[in-house]
Amino acid sequence: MRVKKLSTGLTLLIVFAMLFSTFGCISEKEETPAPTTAAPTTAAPTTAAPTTAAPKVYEGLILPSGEKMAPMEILTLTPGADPTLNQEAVFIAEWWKKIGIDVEAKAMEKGALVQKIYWDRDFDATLWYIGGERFPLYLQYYYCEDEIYQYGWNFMQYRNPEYDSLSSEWLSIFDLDKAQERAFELQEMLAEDNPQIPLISDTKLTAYNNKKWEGWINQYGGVAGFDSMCTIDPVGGDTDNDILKIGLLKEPDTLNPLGTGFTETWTIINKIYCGGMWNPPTALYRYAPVSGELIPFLAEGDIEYDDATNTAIVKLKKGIKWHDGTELTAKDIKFTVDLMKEFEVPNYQDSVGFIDKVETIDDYTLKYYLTNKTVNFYHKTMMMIILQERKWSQIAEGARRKVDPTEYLTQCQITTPMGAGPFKFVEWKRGSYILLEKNPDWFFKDQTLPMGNDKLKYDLKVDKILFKFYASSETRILALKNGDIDICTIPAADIADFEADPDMTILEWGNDWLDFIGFNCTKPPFNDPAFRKALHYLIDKEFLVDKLQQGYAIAQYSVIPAINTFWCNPDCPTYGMGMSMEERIQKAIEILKGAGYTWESES
Amino acid sequence: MKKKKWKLIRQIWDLIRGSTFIKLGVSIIIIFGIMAVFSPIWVNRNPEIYDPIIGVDPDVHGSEGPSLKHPLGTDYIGKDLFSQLLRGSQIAFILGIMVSVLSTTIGTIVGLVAGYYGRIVDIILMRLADIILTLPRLPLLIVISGIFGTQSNWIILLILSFTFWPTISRVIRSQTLSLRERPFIESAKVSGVGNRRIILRHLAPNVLPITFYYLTVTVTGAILVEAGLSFLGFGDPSNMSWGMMLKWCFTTGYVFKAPYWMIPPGLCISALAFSFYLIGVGLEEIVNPRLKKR
Amino acid sequence: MSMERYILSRVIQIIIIFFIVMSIIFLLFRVIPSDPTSFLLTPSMTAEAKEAIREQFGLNEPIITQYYLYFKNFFHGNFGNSFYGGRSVMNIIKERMLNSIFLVTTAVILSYIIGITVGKAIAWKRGSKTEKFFVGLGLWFYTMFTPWLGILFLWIFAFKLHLFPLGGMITSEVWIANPSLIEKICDLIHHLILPLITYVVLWFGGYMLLMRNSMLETLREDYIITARAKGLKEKDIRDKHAARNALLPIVTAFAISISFSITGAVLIETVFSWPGIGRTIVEATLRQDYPLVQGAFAIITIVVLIANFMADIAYAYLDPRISY
Repeated sequence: MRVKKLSTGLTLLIVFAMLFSTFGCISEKEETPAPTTAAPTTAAPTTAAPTTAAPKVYEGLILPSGEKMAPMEILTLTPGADPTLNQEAVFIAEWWKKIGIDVEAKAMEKGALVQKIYWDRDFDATLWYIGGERFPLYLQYYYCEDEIYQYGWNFMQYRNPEYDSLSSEWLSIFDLDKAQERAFELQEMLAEDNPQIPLISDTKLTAYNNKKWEGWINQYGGVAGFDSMCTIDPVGGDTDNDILKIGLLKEPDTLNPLGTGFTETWTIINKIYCGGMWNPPTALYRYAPVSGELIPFLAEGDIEYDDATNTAIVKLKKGIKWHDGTELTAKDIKFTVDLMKEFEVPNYQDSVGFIDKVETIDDYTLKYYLTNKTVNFYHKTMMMIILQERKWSQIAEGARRKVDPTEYLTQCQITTPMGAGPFKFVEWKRGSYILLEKNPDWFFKDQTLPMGNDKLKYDLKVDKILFKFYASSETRILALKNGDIDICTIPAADIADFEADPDMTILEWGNDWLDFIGFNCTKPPFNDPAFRKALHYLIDKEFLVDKLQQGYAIAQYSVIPAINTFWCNPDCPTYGMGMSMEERIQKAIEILKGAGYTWESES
Repeated sequence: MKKKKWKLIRQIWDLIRGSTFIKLGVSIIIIFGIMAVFSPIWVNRNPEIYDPIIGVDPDVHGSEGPSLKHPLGTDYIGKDLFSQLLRGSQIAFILGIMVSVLSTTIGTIVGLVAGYYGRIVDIILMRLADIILTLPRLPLLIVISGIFGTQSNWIILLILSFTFWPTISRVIRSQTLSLRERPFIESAKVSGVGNRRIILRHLAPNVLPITFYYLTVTVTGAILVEAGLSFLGFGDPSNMSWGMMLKWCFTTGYVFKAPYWMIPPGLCISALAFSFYLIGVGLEEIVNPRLKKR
Repeated sequence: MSMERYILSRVIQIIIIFFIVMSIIFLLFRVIPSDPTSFLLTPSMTAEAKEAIREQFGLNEPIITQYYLYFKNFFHGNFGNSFYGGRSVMNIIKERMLNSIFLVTTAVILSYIIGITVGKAIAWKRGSKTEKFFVGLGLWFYTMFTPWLGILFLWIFAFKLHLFPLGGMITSEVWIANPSLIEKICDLIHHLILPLITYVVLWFGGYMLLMRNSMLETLREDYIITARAKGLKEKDIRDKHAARNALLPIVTAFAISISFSITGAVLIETVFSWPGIGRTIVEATLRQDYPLVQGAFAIITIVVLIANFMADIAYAYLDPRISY
C-alpha cells in the first residue's frame, strides 16, 4: 500500500516536472527573435545593439495587384544529399526576407523534389543545378515553349517567342563563330529576364600522390580523366604491374551502356567502350581538351555534310579492334544506330531521333540521312556509343521476344563488356572494387594525335586500373593520404593538410556545373521580370563563394558555367556584384517601387 | 491531511536520496535542463553570429577550434557550435518527453483496457501491438521518412510514438491480467462499481510504477532513435538537433579533423539518454520487491 | 494445452501476422508520393522516353492483380529488379544478408558470453561498489549513441593508430592478387574487428543486466538456501544452481535481440561502410530504389518474425512451469 502510494506520488511528480520543462522549453524557443539587423556580409559587424541607426525595415510586400504576397518556399535538396545547395537556399531565404517577403527554404528528398518541380510544377522557386554538357544544348531545351509540356525540361515554364526562334535557329548553325555570337545573345536575353538566377560554380581541387604517378593533365571536366590515364607515367620506372588506384564514391549501377546515365558509372564505361555519354573521349569525334573544337578520333578526316540533302559522310579509321580481336567496322556503327532507333533507347534518342537512316557504303564509310539540320548530329550522334554487332545482335534477339523489349535491353546485366577502348574489363567484386586491365592491342597505343593547338601522345603505361568504392568522402580522402588510392578530389577544408604534404600535388579546375534558382514563371509575382531581377540583386554571391565554398568557386552571372570559356558569355550583366547589403536592398526596393510594389510597413 | 502529504513527499525524497542511480540521473538531467534554458540567452547576445541555423561569424573561414568567442568552435561556414549544442538540448528534451508521454499514455490505456476487458478487445489490441512490434523500428522509420519525404518534426514525433507504445501495452496488460483476479477487484465489482471506475481508481494506480518506468526509459529510446535518424540523413533539417550536428560534421568532411565538433554532440546524446535510463533503473530497484536488497 | 498444440497455434498466429505485415509493406510502397524515376532523368531523353520509363516502373494494372502478383512473386523469391542497375533484388539481398549475418552473429555471441559472465559475477556481489560500477558502466554503453562510439573507435584505432582499416569488408589489393584462403580470412577478420568491438561494447550491458536481475530473483529461491546449508562451495552454488535457472530469460532475450541487432546493424554498417543489409536499406532509401527497399525491409521483418517465434518455442520448451 505504501509502495503504491509512493509510486503514485513519484509518478505524478515527475510527469508534472517533465510537462513543465517541456512547455518551458517550447515557450523559450519561440521567443528567440530572428535577426533583424544587417545581414551577414563579408565586412565585420559593427555593433550588436540593433537600436542605433537601424536601416529602414521593409515588411509585408504588396504586389501591384493590391494583394499581399503569399508566403513562398525555396525547394531544394536535403543536407544529406547536397549540403551546399541546402545552405545556399537557407541564406538566400534570409536575404529575401529583408524586403518583406515571407520565405523559407524547404528541403526535400530528391524524388519528391523532382516530382514537385518537374511533373507537378507546383513550386515557387527551386534551387537546382545544371551543366555537364560541353556543348550547352540546354540553352535551347531548358527555355523553349516546346518543352513546357508535362514531361518537358522547361519546368520553369518560361515563355519567350523571340528566344524560342533564336535558340532553335542556333541549333542549326554549324559555323562556330556565328554560333558563339548567337549563344552570347541568348545568354544576355536570359540575364535580362532572369527566369533563373545563376549562383555559383564551384572550383574543384584534385590531389594526387606524386610519388606514384606523374604527368596528370588538367583537362575540361577533371584531372583524372581519360587523356590523363593514357598519358601518365609511373614514378620510379615502368614495370609490368603498374596499378592505378582510383576511389569512387558511388558504386556503378551497371556495365550496360544503354541503361545508365550516371557520370560516375561512365568514368568506368568510357574506358572500356568507344563513345558514350558525358563528353566521351573515344568516340568517332571528340572535343579537344583545351580548345573544345571537334577533332576526329575514331573517324578519319572531317565530316562531309551536304546542306541540300542533309546527308553526312563519315569515314572510319582502319584497323581498330574489339577486345576479342575482331575489327570494328562501319557495320557496328550502323547496327548501333539502328538498335537505338528500333528499341527507342531513352538515353540516346537525342542522338538518333533526327536520323532517317544510315547506310554503310563500304566497311569504313557511312552515310547518314538526316531529317533536318541540327548540331545534335555533331555533338550527340558522332559521340554516341558503338556496340559490337556480334554480341548485341544476340541480346537484341532475346529482347524482341520479351513483353517489354526496351526494358530488357537496357536492364540486361552485362557481365563481360565488349568494347574497343584502351582498357578491358577483368572483375567486379560487388561492394568493393572493379578491376580493369590494359588492352595491349589498343589502336591508339603509341599514337600522337593533334588535339586542337597541341598534340597528345597516348602512351599507355597503366597496366591495371583498380576502382575502389568508398562510402564517404572522408574515408576516400584518408585512403589517399594512406596511399590506398592515387588521386581524388578533395574538399576545400582539406587543402591546408595537402599543401603541407610533400607527397601530394594539388590541381584546381573549374566545374562545368552551376547552381541556380529557378522560378515558376506562371505564378505571380514570379511572372514579373522586374521582381525576379530585384531578387537577383539581393543575392550576395561573394558570400556564397567565400563562406560556403571557402573561396573555391566562381560567382556566375550567365547560365553557362564559366569554365566553358568558349560558350560562356563573360559580359552578362553582373547584378549586385560588390554591393553591400544596404546597397542591394536599396537597389531592389528601387526596382520594385518602379514596378508598382508597395509595403505594409510603408503605409 | 496536509501532514500526510508532507510525509509522502518526504518519503519520496528519502527514496530518491537513497538511490545512487536516481541521484546521478537527475543531476545530469538538471545540467542539460540548464543548457536548454540558457540557449535563447546565449543566442540573443548577438543573433547574427550565434543563431544555430543562420548565424554566421564573418571573421571566420572554415571550421575553427574553441576560442573565447566560440566556446566550442565553429562549423565550416562559421556557425557557432556552442549555440547548436544548446539548441540541441532543447530539441532533445521536447522531442524525447513528448514522445514518451504520448506513447506511454497510449500504451497504458491500451494495456489496461485489453487486460481488463479481455476476449475480443484483448485479441484485437494485442494483435495490433504484435504487428507493430514485428516491423523493425529504425528501418520502418527510415522507409517512412525517406519515401514519404517527411521533413517535419511533428511527423517524426507521431511516428516515433507509434512504434513505442506496443511494448508498454504488453507489459501493462500482463500486470492488469494478474491484478484483475485479486480480491479487492472482485469485491469492487460485486459492490457494483462501474468498469471505468475500477480501471481508473483501482487498477491504474497499481500499474503506475510500470508506467513510470517506461516514461523514463522511452525518453532514452526516443532521443537515440531521433539522433540515429538525423545522423543517417532522414531528420528534419530545419532543426539543429545533436544528431544533425553529427551529420553535418560527417558530411562536410570534418569528422576526423575537428574533435571539438564531433565529440560534444555524441557525448550529449549518450549522456542524456543515459540519465533517463538511470532513473528508470533506479526506480525499478525501488519498486520491484524481488530486487530489493536482502 | 500441450506443447504441440501451443506450437501449432503460434504457427498459425505467425502466418497471419506475416500476411498482414506483408500487406502493410505492399500498401506502403504503393502510396509513394514522389517520383521513383527522378534519378533516371538525363538531358538526352525525349518526352516519349520519359513517359515510357514512368510507365515501366509505374503501376498500370488494377491493385488486386498487383497484390496477387506481389505474393506470387514473393513465394518465388522474386522481388523485382533494383532501379539502380536492374540487378535482381533477391541477388543483392542474398549477398548483403550474408555479410550482415557474419558480423551480427559473431557480435551477439561475443557480447552474450561477456555479458552473462560479468552479470553472473556481479549478481553474486550484490550491493558492493563493484556491482554498482559495472551496472553503471554497462548502462552507459548500452544507452550510448551507436554511431558516435563507432566514429570514436575509427578515429582512434584506424585514423590515428593505423591499426585497423577505415571501413569496408575487404582490402581490394589483397583480393586482386590471387590470395590463398588463409589470406582472405585474415583480411576479413582484420576488417571485422572494429565493428565487432563496437557492437560488443555497446551490447554487453544489456545481457549483463538481464543476467544480474534474473540471478537476483533466483537467488532468493529456497533451493539456494538449501545449497548453502549443505555447505557447497560458493562458486558451485553460483554456477551450478543459480546460473542455470537464471538462464531462462536470457535464452529468450537472445532471440529477441535479433530485433535490436537490426537497428544496430543499420547504424554500425553505415559508420564502418560494412556492405550489409542495414546499410543497404539506408542507401536504397536515399536513392529511392523502391524495389530494393521493399525487398530488404520485407526480409528483415521476416527474420524478426521467425526469431520471435523461435524465442517463444524455446521459452516454452525450457520452462516446464509455464503452461499455455
